[in-house]
Parts: sequence; structure tokens; C-alpha cells
Amino acid sequence: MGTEMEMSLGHDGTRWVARGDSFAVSGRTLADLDAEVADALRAGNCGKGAPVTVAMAFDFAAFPVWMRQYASHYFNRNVTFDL
Amino acid sequence: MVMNRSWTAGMRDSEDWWAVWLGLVMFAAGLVSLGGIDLVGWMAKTKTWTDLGEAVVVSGKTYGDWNPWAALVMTYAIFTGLTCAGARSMGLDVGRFLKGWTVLFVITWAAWIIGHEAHLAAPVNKWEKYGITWGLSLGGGASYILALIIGLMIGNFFKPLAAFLSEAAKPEWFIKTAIVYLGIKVGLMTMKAAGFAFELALAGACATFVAYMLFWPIVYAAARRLFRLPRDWSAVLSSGISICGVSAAIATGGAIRARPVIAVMVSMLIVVYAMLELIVLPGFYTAVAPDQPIVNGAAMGMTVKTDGADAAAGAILDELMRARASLGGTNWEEGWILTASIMTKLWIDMFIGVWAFVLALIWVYRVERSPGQPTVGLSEIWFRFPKFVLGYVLCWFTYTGIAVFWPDLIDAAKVGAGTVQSPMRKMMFMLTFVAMGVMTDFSKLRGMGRLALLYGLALVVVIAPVAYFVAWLFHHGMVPPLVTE
Repeated sequence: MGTEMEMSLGHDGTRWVARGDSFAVSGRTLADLDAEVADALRAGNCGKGAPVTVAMAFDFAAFPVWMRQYASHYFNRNVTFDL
Repeated sequence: MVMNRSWTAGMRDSEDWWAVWLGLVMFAAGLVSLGGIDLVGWMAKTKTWTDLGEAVVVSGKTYGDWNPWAALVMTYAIFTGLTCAGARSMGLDVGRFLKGWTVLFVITWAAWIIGHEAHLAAPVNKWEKYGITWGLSLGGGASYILALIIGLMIGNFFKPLAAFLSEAAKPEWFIKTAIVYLGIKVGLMTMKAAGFAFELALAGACATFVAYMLFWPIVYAAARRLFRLPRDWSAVLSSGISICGVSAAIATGGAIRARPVIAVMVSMLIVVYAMLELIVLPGFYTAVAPDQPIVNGAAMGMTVKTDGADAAAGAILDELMRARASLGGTNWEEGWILTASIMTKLWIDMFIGVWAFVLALIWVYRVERSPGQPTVGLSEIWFRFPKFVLGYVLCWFTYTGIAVFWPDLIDAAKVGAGTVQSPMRKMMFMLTFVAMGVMTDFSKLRGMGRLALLYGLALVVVIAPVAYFVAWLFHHGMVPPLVTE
């Protein structure tokens, strides 16, 4: 059994940003971001060698207010890290 | 934060779900008339007038002794309470919303009343009744056009006022609520012409399928090969132009994991172009194809992006086409042309989740293949499904069910349904017109360069003509039932 955790995902205009309970990381691409998340998980000794699945839910508040009436969902992603 | 993790996400804080709640509150109140109690008859409505004192009337016979202006105050109070509850639940600034809503309400009703002045609205065969010798015979279209003009003037020439109104200017919320109310009207219409209603729905589904298969690939290929746009920009723009506007651009951007700024830029373009389509197409279709009402309506549904602009264009088309036909002595029932436009659009809306899911699979597993790639959840389809369609279908099928299983109750059902599907729906349409104008700023086209050019070309060369051909293929020969009095 691996570990599961949740993070919010956003974009600050230039970089993707993932925020968890105890850390926030960013990357220019989603692949860069995933590498940063993996590093942060390793640094926190998360999962203790077991796979960690991170559920990233996009925070729709990143969109301008006027656009939120058209949709309320961007995307979610589940990424499994073998630490 | 606004994040979707469970299937119930958004039920309390999204405009989409709040359109369902606002719609169903009045739907339920209207249904009470089955028990002989009219809970919605207090609603004020306009009628064609020559004396301003007679411009507003009360909807329900039970409320016949009410002062019409008191009914208007009651209308304001009830809808203010409901929309403010929604605004609060959605995390809007309720104080700002209330002020903006109140101004929008006043503008809306002023435009609605002025637009029903007999010289503007009365059809030729009613001129004698109103004691007039000339007129524009625009029907309810005059009010819609007036509301749009006022909204556009505010949005483009009185920008501080537009900013003041922005918290309450929610055209998508208003139009989705109106579409839920329209479900009641479609239910009532189905009582009278069930075969035609279902033929319309089926033809709309077929037309939508063809449109998806044609529009998107053509526009994507043009964006990539002629305009040399990157894949992500091309995909988001293609969905925005081809499918359902802003919501499609957002859905596609999310599906392919594009930077949000791409969806934002494309959406700004869509809103402006949708307004241009709304201004041009109803008059154009009425002028060039006055004998193809349902084809025109369906073509509108496939061509005009965003639900608000499409419904608004359909409503104007409905009024203009019927006014034009009445000049030749043909009186079509109100609402069928509008329904053709919206039904096609709803099919398009419903499949955006599936389309985005397919795009997500293509992007994850073919375009951006990488080891340890994230998975694409089926739940994405549900998150992107337009929830207001549930309210629309519930209303439609409920009234159709009453007609089929309890025909004795039809007259009682019509008492409440009549108010919700007509004056309430029209008021939400009017609010949509004003709000859409307020948030449309044509100056945003500046600096869009290649994107704006591609959008314009795709619209004129691909979307509009192909949509019209597809609409003609599936709907030609269909005309609304005639008014029987």
C-alpha cells in the first residue's frame, strides 16, 4: 500500500505551483513541477520508500472572476511517485 | 479555493449549479398550481402599450387585484433575495452584488417596458387595436435589442459603471437559469406537438455530432498549418471557436494541461466575437432565409458561441422571424425557433466533457508521452458536464409526464408553468442581454493579432457556412406549429 496525499495546483502566470499542507513547490512545466514535488517528498521522508500518489486539484480561483461563470473545473491529476 | 474533488463539488458555490437551484425553486413553486394554489402569479410582466400606466401587469389571475407596480416591487424583492443567496453561497461580495443587481434590474425593466411601446413592438395586424398607423413590428425583439444596446454602451463607453456592475453582471448564470425555465416551456410545447419536439431534439443531436466532427479538425488544421500556432493554442482556440465558446476553451485547456493564460486570452476573444455574431446573425438569417425558421435557429445554435449569446441570438431571431412571417399572414407559435437554437447548443454543451476527455487521452498518451505519466480520471467528464442541463431536462420531462400520465391536470399545471416559462424566463433573458453587453469590451480585440484574424476567418469561412449547411441538412422543411386561438 502506498501513501496518498492531496495538493492544490495553480499557475502564477509563468510557473505551475503546487501547495500541500507543509510545503509549496513550483516548476516551469508540469514535468518540472513533478520533479520538485518528488524532491520535496523525499526531503520530508514521505512514504518511507513506498510509492506516494499525489492528487493535485486545480484551484479555479486562478481564473479571472468573470470567467468562473462559464465553467468551474480546469483539471485534476493524480501522479504516483516511486521515491 | 475553488477545487473539484468529489462529484458534489460546486453544488453550493458554482453558477452552473445555482442556475439549477434558481430554476428548480420556481419550477417547484409553479408546480404547486396542480393543487389549485398559484405561488408564482405575483410576477410582474410587460405588455404592449400606448399608455405607460398600462405597460406593466400582474401575471396570475389570482393576483388580479394587485397594483402592477406593487407586483414589480414583489418581483424585485423575491429575485433579489434568491440571487443574493446565490451570490453569498458563491463567495461573491454580497454588498457589491446587491447594488449592481439593483441597477441591472432597473435597467432591464426600463428596457423591457420601453421596448413594448406599441410603435416598436405591435405587429401590423394589431396596429388598429393600439390606434397606431406606423410601427417597426419588432415584437419582443425591440426590448432585447434595446437591452443589448444599453449594456454595450455601458461596457464600452461607461467603463467605471461597468466595473461597478461587474459583480452582478453574470450573463451565464442568468441565461442558464432561463434555460431551466425554458425546459418548462418545452414541456408545455411537447404537450401540443410531441413528435415535432422530439424530432427537433434528435435532429439537433445529429447536427451537433456532425459539427463536432467537422469544425474542430478544420480549425485545428488551419491554426497549425496556416497560422503556425503551437499545439496548445491551436487546440484551445479550435474548441472555443468550434464547440461552445468559453466553457469549451476552459475544458480543452484543462484537458491538455495548457497554461491557464491560453484559455483566458481565447475566452476574451470569444466573448467579443460572440457579441458580434449576436448583433449580425439574427437580422441576417431573417433577411436571407425567412422561410427556414428552424434551420436558422439550429444554425444559430451551432454558430454563436457561449450559451448566453446563443440564447440571446435565438430569442431575437424568434421575435424577428415571427414578426416577419406575420406580415405575410403566417403566425408561428412563439419559442420554437429559440428552442431549436438552444437545443442544438445544449447537445454541444453536454458533449464537451466527453470531447475534453478524449482530448486529454490523446494528449497524455500520444502528444506528451512520458514515463510515469499521470492518469486521466473519468470523473473529469462529470466535472465538465453542464449541470443546468439537468434542471432543463427535469422541467421538460416533468411537464411532458403530466401531459402523458395525468392529462386532466394540464390546465392546472399551466397556471404556474405559464408564469415561470414566460415572464420569469423573459426577465432572465433581458438580464442576460444587459449583463452580456456590460461585460463585452470591444477594445479587448486590440493586440490579439493572429488569434483575432484566425477567429474571424474561421467563423466566416468555416463555422457559419458549414453550420448553416448542416442545420439545413437535418432541419429543412421544419416549421413551428401555427398559433391556434
